[in-house]
Amino acid sequence: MNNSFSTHRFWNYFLFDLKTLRGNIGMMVLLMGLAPIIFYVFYMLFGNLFDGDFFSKLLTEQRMKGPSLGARIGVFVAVTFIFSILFPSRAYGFITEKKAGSSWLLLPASRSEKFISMLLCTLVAVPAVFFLLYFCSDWFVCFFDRTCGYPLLTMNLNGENGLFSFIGDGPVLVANGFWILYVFVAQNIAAFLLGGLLFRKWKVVGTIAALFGLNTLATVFMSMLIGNVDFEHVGEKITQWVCAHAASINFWLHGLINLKVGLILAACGIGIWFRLKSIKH
Amino acid sequence: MITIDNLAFSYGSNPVLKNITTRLEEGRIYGLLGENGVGKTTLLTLLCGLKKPLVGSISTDGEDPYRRLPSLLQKQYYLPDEVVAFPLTAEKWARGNGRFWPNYSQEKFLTILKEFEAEPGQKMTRMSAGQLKKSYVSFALATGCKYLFMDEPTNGLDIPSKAQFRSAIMKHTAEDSTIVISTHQVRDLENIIDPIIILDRQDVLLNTSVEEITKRLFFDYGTTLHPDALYTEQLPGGFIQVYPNTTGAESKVHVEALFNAAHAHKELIKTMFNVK
Repeated sequence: MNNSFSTHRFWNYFLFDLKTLRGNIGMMVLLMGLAPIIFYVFYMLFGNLFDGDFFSKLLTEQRMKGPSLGARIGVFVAVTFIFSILFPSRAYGFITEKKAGSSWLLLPASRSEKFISMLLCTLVAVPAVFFLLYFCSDWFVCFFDRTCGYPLLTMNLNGENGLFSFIGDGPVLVANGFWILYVFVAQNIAAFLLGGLLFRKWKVVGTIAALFGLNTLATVFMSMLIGNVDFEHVGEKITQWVCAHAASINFWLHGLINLKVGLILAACGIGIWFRLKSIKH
Repeated sequence: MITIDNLAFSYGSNPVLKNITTRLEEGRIYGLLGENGVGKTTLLTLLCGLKKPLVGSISTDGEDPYRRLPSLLQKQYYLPDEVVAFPLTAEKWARGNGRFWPNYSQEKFLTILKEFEAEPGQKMTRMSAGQLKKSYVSFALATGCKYLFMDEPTNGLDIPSKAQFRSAIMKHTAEDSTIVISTHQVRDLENIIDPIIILDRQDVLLNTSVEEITKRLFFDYGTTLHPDALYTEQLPGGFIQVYPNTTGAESKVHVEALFNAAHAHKELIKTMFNVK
C-alpha cells in the first residue's frame, strides 16, 4: 500500500473534505456571498427611511439611487477581508479540539492527502465559491437596479473607475485583473489557516496578535536596515535599474508581488504541514 | 500483535505511565482497568497514535502508530469516551466515514444499530448521549478493524443496551481482532473481557488471561470467611473472597474483587503473575 499518496484515496478524501466543509462553513459562505443583496436591501431600506424625503419621493414617484460602485467596492473589500480571516479557522480549527480532532487525525488517509486537500479547499474551492456567489449576487443587484452602475465583475481593477483608482494619485498598482485580488486574499487565508491550527482558542484574535507582532519585528528590522543604508548610493542604483528596465517594469513588479505572496504561502504551507505532523490529542 | 516496550509518558512534570512492557495478542478482548488518573485513556491514545511516547515504543504489526500511516489507520478504530455529534443522520455520517476503512460494511452498521434499537435516520445532533454512543459503537464494529480501542464504551448506555453491546462485540468482531476496552463499569463487561489488564500508578499490575487468574486465585462466593483471603467483601447472603488457589479448584472471576485484591496486595499479585 502506498502510504504517502494514492490518487483514489485522495479523491475520496477530497470529496469527504468538501462535504465536511459544506457542513462547517456552508452557511457562512452563503451569507457572505450574498452580502451585495443584503447590503442593497439595508442600504435602500435605511436610505429611504432616514434621508428625510421619503414621503415626497413617494408622492412624486422619485426613486432613491442604489449603492454606487464606490460603496459596493468598499463593502466588497470589507466582506472579503472578514471572510478571509474568519473562514479558515471555522473550516479546520476543529482539528485542535480533542473530540473532533482525534477522529480527523485517525481517519485513514495520509498526511499529504489531508494537507493537499486542505490547501485546495481553502485556497481554491472555497474562495472560488465565495467569489462566484458574491459577483453573481452583485450582478443581480445591478441588473435589478440600474442606478447601481456597473457590476463588480465587469470592473477593470486599474481602470478609471477601478478598485485601485480610489487610492489616489500614487503609483498605479501594476498587477492587474483579479489575480492580485486573489493572491492578497490567499495569503490572508493561509496565515489564518495556520493560526487556526496553531492556536487552540482565540484562533482569529491570536493570529491577528501574532501578525501584529511579526509586523512590528519586521518594522524594527527594516528601520535598522534603512538607518544604515547610504541613500544616495542605493537610490542611484535603484534609479539606474528602473531606467534600464523601464519597458518591462510591469513584469518585474508583477514578479516581485508574486514572489512575496509565494514566499508567504510557502512559509504558511510549511508551518501547516509541520503542525499537522506534530499535533497530538 | 501490539508490542509495548518500556513505554513512558508524562504530562509536563507529571508522569503517568512508566516502564510499561507488555504484549497485546490477536483474538483477545482486553479489559483495561485502573483507578481514575492512572493513564487508561492515555494508554489508549498512545496505542492508536494520537500521542507520541516520551520513552520506549509501541509497535502494531511492526508499525509505529504515531506515524499515522493509512496502512495502519485502516486496521484500527478508536472510540473515545466523548464523541462528536455531527449535523447529519447517523446513516449518512457512517456512509461518508466508512469509505475510508476497506472492510467497512454499511449493512453491518445498520444491522448493529437495529440490534441496539436505534434510529439510523435520526440527526446525530438530536440524539441523546446513549443513542450517539450506540451509533459510534455500531460504526466501530462495522469498520471490521483488526484493532479496536474503546474508552468507556458502555458509559451512557441503558441496561438493555449494555447487554446488546456485549452481544454485538461477540457477534460482530473477527476471530483475529484485538479489542482493548478501558472501563470502570467492570460488571458490564466482565463476561467478555479476557485477558484483564490492571494499571496502577505508572505501572501494570496485571496482564493475564482469565484462565491464568483462576488457576492462581480462587474466587469464593461462600458464607464462611477464609483466613488467607487477599480481599473480602460482604455481599447479600454471603461474601466474595479472593485467595490463592492452592487446590486447583475452578471459580468464576469477580473482576471488582480481583481489582481490589490486586490493589491491596500489589507486590504479591505482581510476583504471583510474574509481572516485571
